[in-house]
Amino acid sequence: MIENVDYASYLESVIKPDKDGFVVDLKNNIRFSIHSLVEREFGLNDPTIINEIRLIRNTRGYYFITAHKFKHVYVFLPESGKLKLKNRIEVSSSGIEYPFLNWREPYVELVSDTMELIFYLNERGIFEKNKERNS
Amino acid sequence: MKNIISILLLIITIPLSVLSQKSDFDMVEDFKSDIQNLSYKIENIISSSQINTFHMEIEKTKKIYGKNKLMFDRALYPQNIEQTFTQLELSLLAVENRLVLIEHQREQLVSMRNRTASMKLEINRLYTITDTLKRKLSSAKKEVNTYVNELKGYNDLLIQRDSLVIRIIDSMLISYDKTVSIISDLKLKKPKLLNSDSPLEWIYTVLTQINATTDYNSSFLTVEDYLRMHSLQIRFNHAWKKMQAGLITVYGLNDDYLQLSIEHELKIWDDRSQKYMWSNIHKYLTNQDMILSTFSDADSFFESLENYIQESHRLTKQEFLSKKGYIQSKKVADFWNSTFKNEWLLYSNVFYSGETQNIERIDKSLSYWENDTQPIHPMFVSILSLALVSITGFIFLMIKTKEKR
Repeated sequence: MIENVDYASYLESVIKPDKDGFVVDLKNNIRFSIHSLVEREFGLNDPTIINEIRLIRNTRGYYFITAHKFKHVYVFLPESGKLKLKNRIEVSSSGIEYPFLNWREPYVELVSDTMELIFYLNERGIFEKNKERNS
Repeated sequence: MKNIISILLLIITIPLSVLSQKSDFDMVEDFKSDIQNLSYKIENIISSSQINTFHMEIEKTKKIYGKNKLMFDRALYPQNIEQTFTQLELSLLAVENRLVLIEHQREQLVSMRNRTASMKLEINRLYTITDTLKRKLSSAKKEVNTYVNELKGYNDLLIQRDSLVIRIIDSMLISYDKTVSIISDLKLKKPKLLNSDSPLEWIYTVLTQINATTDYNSSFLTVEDYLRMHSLQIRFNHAWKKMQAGLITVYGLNDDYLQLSIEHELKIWDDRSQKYMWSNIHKYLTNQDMILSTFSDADSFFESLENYIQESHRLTKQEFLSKKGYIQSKKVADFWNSTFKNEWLLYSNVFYSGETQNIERIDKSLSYWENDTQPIHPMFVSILSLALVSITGFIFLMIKTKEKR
């Protein structure tokens, strides 16, 4: 067994879904459909309403996924042939505006430009929030 | 413990992220874009004077993005931010080298242009010199033509002078013959005639002038000229010998100084004219492929020429089928009749002892040679061959007829 493996991708991936709702992240060597996420967030079966998704992986190998107008950050753990949802972290009741994810070891930083909110997340949820930017 | 470390780390890293004001992704994209732009600008630098500006630009960019070195190093993996800037610096250095080279070439081009301009000036200068030389050459040609004309004039004058001398000598002789009886009387009475227009003075003057002005070594004199001048000398000498005694009696005043002077000048004239004439005839004949044994006076010349004719005759008389001997004999005859005899006999109407016989003998030898080597006419050969064939055929028929009987 190999221990102390670091899965962190350090830099988020910003990926445009194709017309069938699939996203391909070459950096993380992963391809999946965002149908279920869109349906879950917006109650629609039309992945094209999403312009781009943002994805980052932390040290333990969890994928953090969110997008513009999402109310949640989704935390997945990869398993054989699937991504198993581990957490769904609510970050906004009305949907977060133009979010982006940074790797701030050991946390994932979620920033929203318009809401001027910063969240420090791990797979378990929000570690810290409501830090104003530019302060 | 681990949590405490994490919190501490977060406290350190949070201000950095706050300062960044952008997502790491966007920062990396901006960085890539900035580097790409910078790289493009570097590639398009047109003057080495801009190089320093770009060094500063690189430094500035490095400073901006260097704050997040760790993040960039991770994001740019397998490259890192240092390598990216090093590559930019290397590109800038390559461009700088290229520009310096180009600018150096530009300088060289300017230098070459200057040299070309200088060479054009030099060529123009040479053209000017060439023009001057052309003019000088043209002028020299004119001078040569003038010189040639003058030489021709000189030769013409020589001929005229010789002709004039002959006319005067002849008229003197005629006058002398007419007054010869008077001179006989004068001899007896021994009068003392004083005459400043003495013909002796005139003869002496003519002789000294001829000896002083005739350039026998001139390359413009021909064989004909030498022959004519020698012929004149013989004629003059003859006239002098005839008039000498009477003229001395009348004008000599018992002083033999003038007589001796005239004799001396005549001797000089004779020696020089003969010497150059015979050597030039020999040279002329040699050039015409007529190799004669050496000769230095009339006798040896006639002998040498006759020997040559007879020897050539002997060698070529069997060659009647070819024209070689005939052509050779015609060439010798041409020299003998047209060149030699024409001039040799021009003024000299008095022959020394044996001269006539010599000339007649050579005439005969030449005539024999010419006759013996005259080629047979081709028509004659054809007729002879035809006759021979006919006779042979006739004999053959006669024999056949006899056999049948």
